[in-house]
Amino acid sequence: MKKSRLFCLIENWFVAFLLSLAVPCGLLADDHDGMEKTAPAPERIISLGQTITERIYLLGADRNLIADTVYCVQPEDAKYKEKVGTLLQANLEKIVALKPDLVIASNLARPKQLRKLKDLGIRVVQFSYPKNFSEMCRQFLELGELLGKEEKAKEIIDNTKKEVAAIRMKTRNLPKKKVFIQLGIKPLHAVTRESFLNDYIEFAGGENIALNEGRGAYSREKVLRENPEVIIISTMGSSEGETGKKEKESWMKYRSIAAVKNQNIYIVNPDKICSPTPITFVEALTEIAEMIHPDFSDGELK
Amino acid sequence: MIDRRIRRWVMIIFILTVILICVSVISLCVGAAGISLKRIPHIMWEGRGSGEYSILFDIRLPRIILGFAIGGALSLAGTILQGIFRNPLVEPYTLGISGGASLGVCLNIAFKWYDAVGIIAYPISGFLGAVLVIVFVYSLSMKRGTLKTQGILLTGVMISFISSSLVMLIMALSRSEDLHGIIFWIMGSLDEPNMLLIRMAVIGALAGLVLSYFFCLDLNALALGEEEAIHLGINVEKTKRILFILASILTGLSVSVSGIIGFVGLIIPHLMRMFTGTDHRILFVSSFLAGASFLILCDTLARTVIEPFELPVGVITGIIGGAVFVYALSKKQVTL
Repeated sequence: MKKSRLFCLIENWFVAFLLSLAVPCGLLADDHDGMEKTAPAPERIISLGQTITERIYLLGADRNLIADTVYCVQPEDAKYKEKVGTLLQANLEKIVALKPDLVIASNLARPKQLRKLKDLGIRVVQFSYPKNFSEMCRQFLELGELLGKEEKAKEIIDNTKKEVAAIRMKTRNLPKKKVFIQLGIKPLHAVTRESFLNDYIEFAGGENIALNEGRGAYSREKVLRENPEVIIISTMGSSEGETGKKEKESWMKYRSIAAVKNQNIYIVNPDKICSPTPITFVEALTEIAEMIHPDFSDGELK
Repeated sequence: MIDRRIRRWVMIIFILTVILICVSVISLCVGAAGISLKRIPHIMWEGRGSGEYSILFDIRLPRIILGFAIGGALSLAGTILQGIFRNPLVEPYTLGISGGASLGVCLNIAFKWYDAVGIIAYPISGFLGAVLVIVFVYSLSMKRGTLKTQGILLTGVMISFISSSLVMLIMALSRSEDLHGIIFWIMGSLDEPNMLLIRMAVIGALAGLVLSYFFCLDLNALALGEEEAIHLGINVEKTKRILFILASILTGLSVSVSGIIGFVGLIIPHLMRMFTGTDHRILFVSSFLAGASFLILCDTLARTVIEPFELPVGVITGIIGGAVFVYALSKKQVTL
């Protein structure tokens, strides 16, 4: 959540004021934002998001991760951590009982619950959903700093940036292809400038047909009019199953679309492309670059 | 005769209070943190400072208090409205109040008012939405100085449809991040972090209970029919108007603090009428107490049934309340 500093201050003050009015003893809201930089590396971390869990593992801080959500299944070891609920609805009691010194939440967490945790004196940090690749890198570095793993985070990000730059170099001179990444079937949802998924298309040398749409909602008519040369289906939930295949078949009926003529319709795993860590970003980017430019394989041009 | 009736009423209130206390204590003692019963006196003795104390008194207790207020307020509102309309299907949400409140909250989420005002924007926008709907329904149904009860019902139902369609419109146009906020709110829950709001809900609910008692005899007369009530010397218009506004404010307050928690305001008044009879003098207080116990019980179940998940409390009130209600209805063979 983007908030100006002033609003943060006013809000914190306001809540502190309300609480001091409401509660006769204790339970005062601390200002946690001020101590983020100086605090020692946390030892008992709870993650409330699957991407956050993955990033913590990447940073090698998983020994300090004491609990995560039921949806945290990557990597394998994350499955066996204590579970504190889903990413939408965490179980506050359980979190408090585990005595964490840091709770890291995603943008999907309930604001009320986070407020409660803060009121109880637990440090809570929330990461928003990254809007683009550079924001994702920045968040990763921030997380590294938070967990006392700056070096490791920097190393991973440097590597990732190098690999991404290499792919961009290779695709730069290839002909730009019109690409449509489809997220969701009913309603049809496209990737816009607002989403970091747009960076996949741009870095892989494609042109996003829905780049300038304000909202993600998109129509089949527009797809026909824009006539994309590549369609990539990543339906939320189940694109690997029947749904993705059925969606592909339904596109095959529109023979006027270039992507249909050239058989350039692909199905990708949404978990892979929608919840990015620096590592999976590069993997997904390579995969998508291969879809957009069939000549481009294994990171090399044939 | 009168003596026996009063003794029976005192008995009912006593039993319901005991149930309320038992449910609250159970709710305080069970939960995902797995604090054993034996340790609780010890934790209380040690006082503030331990994590377990915090779980009991900063997490569980505020939920119980809020459940008491919201459950009580909603069933009281339901009792009042069913009394005014003499219609068994009326509940606090029939009149479009919840729809208005959801619309207010959706607009708050869609236009990001909470960025400017802070988290307090949710209850405020919900309450404003509810008040707007009340004013709207009320002024539409006022014809030549009389409040048309059938008119209110129909307008209310239509307003709920309109607002739910508008909510759907906002949801269709909003970003996925905002969608979660809207859905959370619509599902309703009792985990309100702001103690001031909880206090306001409690004070509002109790004030509503006290105020309603000024009109319990009028409402009893109204049960005979409006004509008959007028002949008995009741100022029917005034009674209807004040009670309508009272019930609406109770509903608006509950909805804006805890979101939409359905069924409490429909089922509890009916159940209580089965047990206590239709006299509003006992019905008001017994509905309030029973509603409070019911919601606290449902919230406890919602927290504990499938750990570590926490279910929306509306799911439990709907399933348990509906099932018990159908069962009681088929057993008792009561006509409503």
